[in-house]
Amino acid sequence: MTANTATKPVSQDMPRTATDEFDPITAEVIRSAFDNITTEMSLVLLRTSGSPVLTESKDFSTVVFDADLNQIGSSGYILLHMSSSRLGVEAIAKARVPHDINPGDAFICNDPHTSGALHQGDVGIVMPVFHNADLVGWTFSNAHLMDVGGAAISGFAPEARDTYSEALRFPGTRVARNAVLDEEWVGFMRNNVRVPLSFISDLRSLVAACNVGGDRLVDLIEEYGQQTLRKYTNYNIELTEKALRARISRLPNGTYHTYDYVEYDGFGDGSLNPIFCEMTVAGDQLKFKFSGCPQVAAFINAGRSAVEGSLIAPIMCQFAPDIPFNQGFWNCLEIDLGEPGTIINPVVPAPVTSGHASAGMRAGRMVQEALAAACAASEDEELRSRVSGQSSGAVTLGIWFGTDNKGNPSMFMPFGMAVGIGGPGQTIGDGQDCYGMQSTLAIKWADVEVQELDSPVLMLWRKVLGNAGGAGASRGGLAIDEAFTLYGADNFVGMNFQSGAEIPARGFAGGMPGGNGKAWLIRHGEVDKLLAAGKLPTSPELVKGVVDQSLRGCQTNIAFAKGDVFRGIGGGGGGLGDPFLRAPALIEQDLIDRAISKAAAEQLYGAVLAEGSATHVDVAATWINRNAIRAAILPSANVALEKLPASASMSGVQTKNGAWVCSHCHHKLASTTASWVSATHTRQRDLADVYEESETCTRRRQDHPVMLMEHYCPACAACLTVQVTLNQESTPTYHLHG
Amino acid sequence: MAAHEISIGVDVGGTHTDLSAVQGTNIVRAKALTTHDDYSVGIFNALGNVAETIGMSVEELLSRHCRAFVNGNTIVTNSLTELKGARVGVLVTGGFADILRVGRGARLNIRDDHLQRNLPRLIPQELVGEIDERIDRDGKVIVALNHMQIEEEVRRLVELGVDCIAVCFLWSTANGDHEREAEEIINRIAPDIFVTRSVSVASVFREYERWQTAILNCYVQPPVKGFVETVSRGLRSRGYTRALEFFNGLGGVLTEEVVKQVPIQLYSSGPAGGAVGSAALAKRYDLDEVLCGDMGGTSFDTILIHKQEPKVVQRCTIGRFDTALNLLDIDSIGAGGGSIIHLDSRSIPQVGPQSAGSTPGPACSGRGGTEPTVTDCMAVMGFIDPKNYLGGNYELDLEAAKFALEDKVGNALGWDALKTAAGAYALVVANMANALREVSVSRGRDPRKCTFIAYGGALPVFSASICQRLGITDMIVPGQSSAFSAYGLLEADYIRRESATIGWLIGQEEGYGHMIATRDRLEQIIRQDLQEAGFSDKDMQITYGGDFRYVGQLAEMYMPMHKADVEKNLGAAIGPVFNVAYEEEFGPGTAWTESELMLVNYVVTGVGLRQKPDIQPVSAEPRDASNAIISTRRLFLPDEQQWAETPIYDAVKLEPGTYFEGPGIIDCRDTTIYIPRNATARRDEYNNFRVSIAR
Repeated sequence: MTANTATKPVSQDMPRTATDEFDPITAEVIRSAFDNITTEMSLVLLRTSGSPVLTESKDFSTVVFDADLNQIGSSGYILLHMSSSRLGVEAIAKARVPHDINPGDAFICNDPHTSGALHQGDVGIVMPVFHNADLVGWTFSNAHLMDVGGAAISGFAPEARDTYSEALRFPGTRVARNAVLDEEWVGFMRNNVRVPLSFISDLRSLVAACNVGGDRLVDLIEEYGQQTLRKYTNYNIELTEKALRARISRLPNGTYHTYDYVEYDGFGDGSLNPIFCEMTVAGDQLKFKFSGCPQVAAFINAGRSAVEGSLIAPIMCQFAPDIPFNQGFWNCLEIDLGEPGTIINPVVPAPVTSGHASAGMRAGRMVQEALAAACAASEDEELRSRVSGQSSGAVTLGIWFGTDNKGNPSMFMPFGMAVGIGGPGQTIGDGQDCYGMQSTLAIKWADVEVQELDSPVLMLWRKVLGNAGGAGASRGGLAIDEAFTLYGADNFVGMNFQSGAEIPARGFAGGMPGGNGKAWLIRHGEVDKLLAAGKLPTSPELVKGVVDQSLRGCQTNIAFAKGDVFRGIGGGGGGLGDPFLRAPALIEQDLIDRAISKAAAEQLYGAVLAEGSATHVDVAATWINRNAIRAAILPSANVALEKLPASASMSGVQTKNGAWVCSHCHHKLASTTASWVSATHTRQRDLADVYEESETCTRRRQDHPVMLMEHYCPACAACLTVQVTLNQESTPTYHLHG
Repeated sequence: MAAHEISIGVDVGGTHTDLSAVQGTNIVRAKALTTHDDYSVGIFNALGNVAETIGMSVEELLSRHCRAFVNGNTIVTNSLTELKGARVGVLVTGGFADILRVGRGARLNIRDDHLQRNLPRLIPQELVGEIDERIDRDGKVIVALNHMQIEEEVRRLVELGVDCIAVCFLWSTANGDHEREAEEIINRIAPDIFVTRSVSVASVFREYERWQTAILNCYVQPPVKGFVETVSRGLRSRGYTRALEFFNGLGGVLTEEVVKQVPIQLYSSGPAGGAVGSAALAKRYDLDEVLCGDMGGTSFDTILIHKQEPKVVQRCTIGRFDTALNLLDIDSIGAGGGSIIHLDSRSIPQVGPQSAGSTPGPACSGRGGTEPTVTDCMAVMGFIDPKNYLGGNYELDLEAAKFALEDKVGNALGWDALKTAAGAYALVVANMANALREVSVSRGRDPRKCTFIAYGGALPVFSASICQRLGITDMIVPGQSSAFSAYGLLEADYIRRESATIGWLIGQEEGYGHMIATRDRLEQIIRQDLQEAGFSDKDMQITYGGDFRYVGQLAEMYMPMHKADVEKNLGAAIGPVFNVAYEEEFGPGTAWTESELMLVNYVVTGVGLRQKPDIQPVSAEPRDASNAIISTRRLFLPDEQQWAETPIYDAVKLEPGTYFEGPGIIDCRDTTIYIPRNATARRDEYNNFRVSIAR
């Protein structure tokens, strides 16, 4: 399923595509032409936009639809928009077709409640495409704009109690006729956004992109004729759908139940809000049923596109990365968001500006895990190679503004802490460092020198954070650790948003969860003193000062003065496979690279370092130590971890003759129609205790501590799964049907 | 024969070493296989071939007749692709060493999670030394350089066996003292170590790409130095006394001495040769908009030439690494003669990006390849003359080609080899057309208004079909198509470009003096460099320009200007001119007219004018070309989807002025040009093939 399909024989899920009616070559040429259209739209957007969020961080997408609202081509970087584009176009079509729509109309969609947007900061433009008098399709372009007014800065309002106090909301409002922006509306917006120049410029770029896409779609119709083009458009959708259905069919039928918690501490209550996902593999269909607690009066509720967009990312990146994406993907899915009025299916006036980074991100991670579990249960080696841990969603997003000493207004957004979060451990190797969320392809941050040129700050360090990656046979990816202080300004004000301070990205198949994100506001640090003494303040130990304990993970109006230091770290990816099965040579390299500390090597990996060495692992002693630790946990087990096949360590369990068996020693655990977890030996530990011992970051909860549930094979003592749960919850389970 | 009248360009490619020798209006080409263990062997083999054609010995050619020897090569590309280079140590500002590991983020714009890997580690952790020093954006020293610490770190790195050291400090663009002091210390302690200061290879802000450029410069230094010295020795020992020049990725030439200091400049010098050759053709024919394309074994390279200048891209990416290099803006896709045809997971045929390369090569080459390639398709469709495959040195195994096409692709579709081959042909053409469209549209140009210059051994079979697909009506295939990149090397000037970050707001007193001083300093550097390279003032062209951006934006755009533009009323006239240039580039209404304008980097370019081939038009009276038909062959015409007995024109017999209407094939021995029906091919007054294609 990797890109290299050249040498493989024709696989069993390949349909016969050449028929009398269809020519596969024409189909492919037309498919690539649609993608080419969206690439051209992106180029127009990139060439004309001024926002660094677009040009540097690539936070945008472009999509083309046919007249039946099928997604037929897409490009861009944010997979979340694969859903928001559909919902945006749908909202316009429903309300306007056929009487209230004309060539050159452009509609703005930025409201999760009414026009399918991710959050109000993500602005979509929808334009119809006409050929002669016929409505033949739609173009969509979307970008994260610097501001859309209201309490939300750059789209985030951590302390808004309802959606009215967040930002301006457009339900699919006409803002252009004949592809020219309405000057009345432009004037209104100019009055209502903080950075009008870039807002208007970006809006123009979005309209220009849609317009170019429309022209090219018309060119294609003229080249092939409307009938033929339509026929092949549908055929391409069918090809994708068939390929994905064939892929799904290779999974065993069954249902996977899982859960997560959405964090919010904005009003000081430290709530963990549960959400649930049930994924059912039914033949060639994937069904998702979500539920959750009642919607909350905080910005973490996820609108439909935040959930669907987060859900499609693992299917696109993890399960079927080789199948060209279009409407055919959606045709294989059944998505039920449950009763309206919950955190995962909110209604007005629920605030939603962090829907994608909070409940949506968690929904995506539940799907990552469910797909991994289904692949692990398959007997298909190719699918089994696609299991992975969860990717981190623990962003530390701070946005700071004020006036510098020359009197210039300035805004500072240290994007590295927000996107420098770890990727999931993979069967082919460790997770990627600073991978971002799974749905954010090619995400980037700005150079230190760019930040210092544009804002009155001095960056103190930018490091790769050791121990952030979840321990595992394949380790989770690492995160960013950076800090800054004001330099050339005395007082700034800012907001802080952390999506994952307590509940980390989970590992898979015995892999440990990744580290959590964290922010520190250090008052009265010794930066000036150090600099004056010719020393660089390159660590918290050197900076000293007093950590401001009042800082919350979701907070606005934070005062930040000269002499203060802000440090933020991102979360790490979940590990894959039992960390006690990680090759000692890899642990040694990790120690050299400071990817893990000595404490982590010893505590999480059972490594024994050679006498007097900080990096050299004593291989023989390590295996003896690992076996001894396991024997202590599980006296009945027959422990010789070094004899377990390394290649089997990635799926934890597998199916054999109607039973779940340990993938290492093939010990039978339970019937496939039952849960295998109850047949394991379980150890329960406080996650904060484990992380403190192993020098990994998390925030300790006093009342309901976050627990690690480690499940071991009773025969060989390999760790088969590690769950993260509050005391009362059950463990995720997969039941095969019949 | 006058002494020193022959210019020689040699392009060392992945498979072939191409050579072009120009003598007056006469162009002679030669080819040899590239010899990867010692590239000079291939170069001297090609030289031997061309000397034989001209009728003299290599020694005589080099010592008495050759006045210029220019080389383009893939040494840097190979070193970086294979990750074979120097053991590099790095001194970096404390607290920021890990930027070398993660850059600005490693995530690729690729869906597959299995392809999301960390950046390749060029520098083992132990070879990075963090140094106490800090300079701010205005160049003010916040923490002085710790000399003791540098000495300790250098000794430690030397102990660990480094070949080179890159010195990478923050804001060295604003104040280069610390990097310079560090270099002095290294030179004192370890005089044999090659040192690169980041600001010496890229005097522009954005530390990651500046540092990466310095590190790559160190990394490729040993292989480049080895190559340069081998070629130089070989030429000198055969009596060559003139300058040995190397082509850089910016489309100019560099001297041996400069190349040893900035070896990274050789990156992408091969494809740049074709681009510069095309720019010369654009001038010769007075064409404003040109797209050019070159197809090799693994890739299709393309670039836009606007107003006779190849486009330059700033901040170019090399493999997974971002750099601060400015290079010709060449786009590459995985579509070459060796690209493999396969079925994707939907059972739809795809071409590339995997390639069978030269080993095992296409199935039809009989070297053990079992995957069907683009070359196999062309063989099955009759486009490859079985008698003359690879110069007649190889037997064309048509049955192997058919079997591979059916076994790996056709059978699953119920198609025979021919139908599969024709389908793949259409896909390759669509892929290349999409790439050309993207290159032109991303620069705001309409491909239909461009002339397509197609060269390389493989492309001219496809190029007319590409034109048909894009609506291009004018195509040029150079007479020496297969060695055109080598020829292009001879059309280049000596180019040096220096820039420095200043961040001056147009119209402001603040920073004005610094900007003027920077401009004058850059000019002095450039003039001195050109003098050292042997150019007198009259052969020197100095041009000025800047990377500008509107305040509030993050990306810069380059605009040329006159030296005095910044002086008149603090540059008051620059803004309106920039607005116009910006809208020309990005479209009407896009300029941020309400915004302040910043001159981010001042750029000075020096061109040392070199003597070019003196190509004059010859008489080309229009006349029918039927005399040049040497045979006919049964070909499967891709645009008509049927077999046709097709006339084959011998390129040697097609004299200037002769023309014919397609369908037909022009056989140039090492290149096959396909002329479809509704197209007219004419050998023109410059001995090139000019093809008009009906839309």
